[in-house]
Amino acid sequence: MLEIKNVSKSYGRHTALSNLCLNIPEGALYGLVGPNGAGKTTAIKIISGIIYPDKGDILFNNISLVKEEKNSKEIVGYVPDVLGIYDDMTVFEYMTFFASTYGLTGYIARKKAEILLEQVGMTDKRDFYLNELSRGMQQKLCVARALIHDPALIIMDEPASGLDPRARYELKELLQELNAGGKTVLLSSHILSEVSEICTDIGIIEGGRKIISGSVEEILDKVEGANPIKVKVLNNENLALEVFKNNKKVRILSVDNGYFMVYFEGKKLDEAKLLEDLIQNNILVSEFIREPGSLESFFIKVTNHSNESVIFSNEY
Amino acid sequence: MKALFLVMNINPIYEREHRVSTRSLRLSMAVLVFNFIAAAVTLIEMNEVVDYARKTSSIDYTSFLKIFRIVVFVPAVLLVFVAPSFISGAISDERQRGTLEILLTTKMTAKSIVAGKFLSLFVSIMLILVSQLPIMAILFLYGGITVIDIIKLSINFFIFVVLLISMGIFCSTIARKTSVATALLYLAVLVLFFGSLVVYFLAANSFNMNENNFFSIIFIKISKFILLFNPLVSMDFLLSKIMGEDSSDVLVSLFWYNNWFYINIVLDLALSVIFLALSVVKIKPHGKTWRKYGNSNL
Repeated sequence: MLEIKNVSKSYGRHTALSNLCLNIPEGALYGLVGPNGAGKTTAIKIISGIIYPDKGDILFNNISLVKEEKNSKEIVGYVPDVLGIYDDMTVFEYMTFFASTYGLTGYIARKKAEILLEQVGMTDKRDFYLNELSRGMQQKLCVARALIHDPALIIMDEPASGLDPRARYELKELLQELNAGGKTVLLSSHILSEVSEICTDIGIIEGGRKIISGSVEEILDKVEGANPIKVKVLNNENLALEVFKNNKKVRILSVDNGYFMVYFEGKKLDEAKLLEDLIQNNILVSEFIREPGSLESFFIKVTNHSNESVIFSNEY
Repeated sequence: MKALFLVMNINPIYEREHRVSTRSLRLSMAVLVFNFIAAAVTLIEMNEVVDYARKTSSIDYTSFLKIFRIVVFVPAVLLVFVAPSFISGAISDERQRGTLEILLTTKMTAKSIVAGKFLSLFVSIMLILVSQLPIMAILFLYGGITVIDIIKLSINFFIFVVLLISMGIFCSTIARKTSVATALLYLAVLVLFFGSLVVYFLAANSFNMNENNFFSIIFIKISKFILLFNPLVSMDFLLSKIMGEDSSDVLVSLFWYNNWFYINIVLDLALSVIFLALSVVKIKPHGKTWRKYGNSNL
């Protein structure tokens, strides 16, 4: 398990991370999501050992990656958003060069390079210079490079950035293959659809803090529950308002374009009872529907981009 | 020697740089240009000597020593102007490519990265200088230059190159872009190699105008101390001794005059070590500077 414990990091007066706490299960394909400037890249660089936190620790299976520099070097394979390639090297030379940076030389380095190039489907490109490869191929090569020392944890910063749909698909397959092989993969992204599609677990951060973290199923349940019920009444709006206020499961009530947006924490049965209450009070209801859950709407909501006007609010 | 061989063989950065340097024309062109200029200058000067001999039926052997001085200084000055473009991208190129971050996540330490870069640059530049030995060797035929002189000059060149590379690597670590690193290195070179001479001449002028003035005395002492760091001045001292010239106009005592070369070696080596150590600290992600200020420059 990867534990990020109360990690804080500031650059001068700007706070990038503020007591960030995350637990990433071993073997997870974890998507770290957040808007621009949320602190995703900073968190990733700290885990990779490139920068040092001001406070806190990062443990992988109870081994500190912060206190002992060599731990992160052995455990972590890092794929940055800027791919980091040498134009003047061939694919095979690139792989053997990075093998040598981990102390692997000679036959072992060559063998590992061959195996990994085969795994990412680039055996036929081994003699190509890196500047002759497409972006998608370069990304696959970087993944292969990150695996050269057989790390337990692979960290990728915006891996799908700049890739065409075909390349994204291939990358997705590769990541799922790695995850199936027992590797823990942590990737950062702001492309939510991809994250929800390929990841087993998701964490949303904003302003350097965790907003929510858990398995995709748990979060989608919360997402579903977090969306409002849209209610359109044709008469007795004030009475309808009283009905909503008196219902203990109504957390926030707002109005948006003539609809009551009812943030309701309850099961389907409770929703049905709310509707029943409205009807019993002779309120004509033309629409009563909970918006389907989507990670995008949840993400926008928790990162405070809503422009609904709130009538009242209990704690949310 | 064995340790150096091991480092060269096991440092991946050195191996990579060595491999790719042979792929581009840059090094070959540098060797060609240096040798062409050195050969042209040597031949032009020798032609004058031969021409004189033809006209007067006598050979002035001291002229060959003068040619030797020119032949030694020309590559040194050329190196000052050309080498920064080779050296300044050492670390900044890695940073711009995004490979420095990746290297720091591997088992390579900041020290080994700097060592690999240093070695590869050193080998490339020494290759350029060593390729000019045959041109210099022409002048050895005429005598007047001892083996000890050659050894001392070689050591002087060695220290000169080490200092230039250390300064270059340091400028490369502190600059975000290679263009800025190049400009910084040229500025540093200008200040050290030429600025120190300008300061000395100003101080000497001031001293000559008023030998008893306290500030003139302090100024000349400081300027002479600064000159001690300049390997080109040390080279000039060596060449003056070879040619039997009296450099007492440099306004130094006999002790300094006799030991200038050795003091310059120690000071330049110390300066080089400081530059390299600072480069390691700047790159190293877990250094104290990083702990205190964080890093947004990587």
